Amino acid sequence: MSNQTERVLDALGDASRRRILELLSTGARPVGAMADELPIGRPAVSKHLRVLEDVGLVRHESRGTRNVYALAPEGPQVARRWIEQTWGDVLGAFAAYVDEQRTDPARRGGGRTEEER
Amino acid sequence: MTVPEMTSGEAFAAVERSVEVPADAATAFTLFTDRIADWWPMATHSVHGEGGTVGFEEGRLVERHGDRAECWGEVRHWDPPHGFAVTWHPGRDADEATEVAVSFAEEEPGRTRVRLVHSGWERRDAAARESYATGWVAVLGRYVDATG
Repeated sequence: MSNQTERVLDALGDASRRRILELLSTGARPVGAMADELPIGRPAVSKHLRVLEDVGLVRHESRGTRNVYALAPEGPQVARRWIEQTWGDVLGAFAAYVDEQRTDPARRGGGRTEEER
Repeated sequence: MTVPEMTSGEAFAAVERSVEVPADAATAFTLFTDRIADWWPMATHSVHGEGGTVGFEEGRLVERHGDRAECWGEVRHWDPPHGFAVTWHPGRDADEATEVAVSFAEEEPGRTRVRLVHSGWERRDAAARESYATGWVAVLGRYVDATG
């Protein structure tokens, strides 16, 4: 999963790809229409779409001779997983830091939680 | 502290993560807030990247990088050692803020559950309000900017 998260992160790390997602959030489009609305050429749009489709953020369907692209229905889950992972990294860094602050002999048996409330 | 439930009407439900740390709640709270510069992963989770620092300054969480200052959010709630809450808008205008709440619950002596809830995605964002199916793009956009 962290590998997948990294790929999503990479996919989103590009301003053109984020712009493509924003366009698609207002409705499905063929590649040509997107190229008309963006300051990049059609080959570049196609390339970005492939990256977005690979990580599950975008999908396409063929209508006649052209492919129409839309946001993938899994998008919300992908976005959610990614945000969870990101906060997980932050909390993980904090936990590692707290661990470093302790002197070793005080270490308690790990992980068991008991109801004491 | 209650855990927000995902409701069908919500464009994007609160994201929640927690971790257990080997410290009492007061220590955990202090390390998290006063010493945030010592542990926050700036290289991957900041507006300007590696080389900067972050700290709570007069009710605001501020990133400093050289002579640049970036306000990540304003403190809305401060209740040591139980928790705090800040608005959250790194790299964005304050009116696009979401909210981050962090609570510290000592589950047994010397062990504290640190719970982070990131919410408010739907509030001020027209795109995110529109629908669950497309609102995540705006959510991600904000988040990517925040973690550039």
